[in-house]
Amino acid sequence: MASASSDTPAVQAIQATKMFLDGAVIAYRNLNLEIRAQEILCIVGPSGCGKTTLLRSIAGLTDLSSGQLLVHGKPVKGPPDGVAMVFQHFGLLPWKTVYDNGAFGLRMNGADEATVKERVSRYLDLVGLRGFDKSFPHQLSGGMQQRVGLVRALAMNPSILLMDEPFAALDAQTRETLQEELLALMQRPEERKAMVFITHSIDEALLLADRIAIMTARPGKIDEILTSPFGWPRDLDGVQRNPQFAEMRAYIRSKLKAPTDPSKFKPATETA
Amino acid sequence: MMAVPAIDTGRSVGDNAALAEEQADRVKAATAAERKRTQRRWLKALIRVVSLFVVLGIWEIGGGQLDQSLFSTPSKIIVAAVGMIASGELWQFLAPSLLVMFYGFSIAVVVGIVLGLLLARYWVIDTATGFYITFLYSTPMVALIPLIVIWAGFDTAAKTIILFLFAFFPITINTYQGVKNVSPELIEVGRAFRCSEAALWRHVVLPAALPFVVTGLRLALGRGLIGMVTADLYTAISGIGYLIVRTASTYQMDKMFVPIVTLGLLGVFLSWLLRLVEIKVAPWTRTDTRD
Repeated sequence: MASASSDTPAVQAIQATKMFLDGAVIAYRNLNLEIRAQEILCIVGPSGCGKTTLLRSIAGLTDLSSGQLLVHGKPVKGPPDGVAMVFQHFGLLPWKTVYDNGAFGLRMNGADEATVKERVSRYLDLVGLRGFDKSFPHQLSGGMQQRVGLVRALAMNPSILLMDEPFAALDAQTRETLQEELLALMQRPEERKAMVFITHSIDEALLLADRIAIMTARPGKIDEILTSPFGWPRDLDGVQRNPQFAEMRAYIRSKLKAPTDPSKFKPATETA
Repeated sequence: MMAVPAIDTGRSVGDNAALAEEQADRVKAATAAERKRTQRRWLKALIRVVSLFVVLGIWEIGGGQLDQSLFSTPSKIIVAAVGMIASGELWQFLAPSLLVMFYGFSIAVVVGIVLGLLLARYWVIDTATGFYITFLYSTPMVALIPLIVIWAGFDTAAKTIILFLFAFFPITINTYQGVKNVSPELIEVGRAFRCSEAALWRHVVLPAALPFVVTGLRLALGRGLIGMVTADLYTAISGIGYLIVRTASTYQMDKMFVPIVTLGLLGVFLSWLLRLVEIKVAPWTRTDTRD
């Protein structure tokens, strides 16, 4: 949306802390992060590092324990305007058709039916679901279900798209196809938006990201932010053939494996 | 020359004959599988018919040997049924019971669903009244019948109350469970897309709870039928249960079996009706017919 000018960061976390169970579990602590308008930021990290909690905080689904979290410069209190989310578990409503699932976000935000029809049809076409309007989610494959999840979020024309490991539940081939489709979509100037993409796949992050934030666990914090050397336009083959791909991949792997907590009881011999 | 797609099979262009053969094989396999399924269906139907004949045959022959004031045979029951249907006797006793069933079940559905939803939505109501419901659900309702007879008499009103009490609890409890079991993930989806609370209930919670509610209705139907007959037996002035009491007490065994069989058929019919309703209102629960 035009209101999100490129100099206001899309998301800003300042000393943000989230704890669970009266402080017994720390999801992330004193975390600082800035996500620029129209950039694709991938957050990679081991499971349990708090990356999904961070995304849920940005989505306004959970409160901070302390610190500040701003979306479009405004503190987050409940799900903010202009933000849409795609879930790892797809989150489609089984009782609604593909079309009605795609329209769900728009309708819940008061869009009129003409707009709904125009936007939902457009994105169903774009993700290759034309003709499936009246199907129910259980009649679709996992990849197609997540395409509906994508339509639901994109149809709202959000300025920030939150992706919570959206392709993690899919098989390897489907995952690559969807990664490429998403990348091709983001290549269109009219579709560019800030995207926060949570993943634990380094390859996925390298392909999609403009910047890659490496998050470490206990307590979760952003360890380092790398800028992608692969410019636009890019695709899977091009990125993977680039010599810097292997180099960055190895680097991120070593970063994620580095012991962050000596008390972690792991056999000292285990390196793989 | 036409290009024949032979990308990943390694077939040469001249392999049209092989392709046709493969297609023919596929058709053959499909036909064979279909034939096998049809055979199995017919076989099952046949086994059921044979079973029915054997059981009824044993009953007919064996039952004929026994004292006919204590037992009856299928042929006599059929004759009695035709007579009772033709004379309107069966309907005369069935109609008041069906009316009680209709009143009691309708009230139980409305009150049960509304109360179940309220309990699930407001923790104060749940805390204040939940334990009564658990207590009453655990109490055999038959124990309350003498009390209800004293309060409400022997007529339709008393029977409706009895039927309501039998049918109401499973509906309430299943509705409550249905709401409590809505996937937290779907609730979060609703919240993430900024549903109002009303919209969240309408688009997420209620549809998700619907299969539970329908299960509650099915349980309630079974219990309702028990309630209906029990009410007739205890109050014993009208209804299909009374028809059983009256024919039994005068040793008209053939006539006594007619209302019993009718009740069985009624239960099967109502369950089937409910299944139709379920398919209509919750088509996504039909995973068994998925292809």
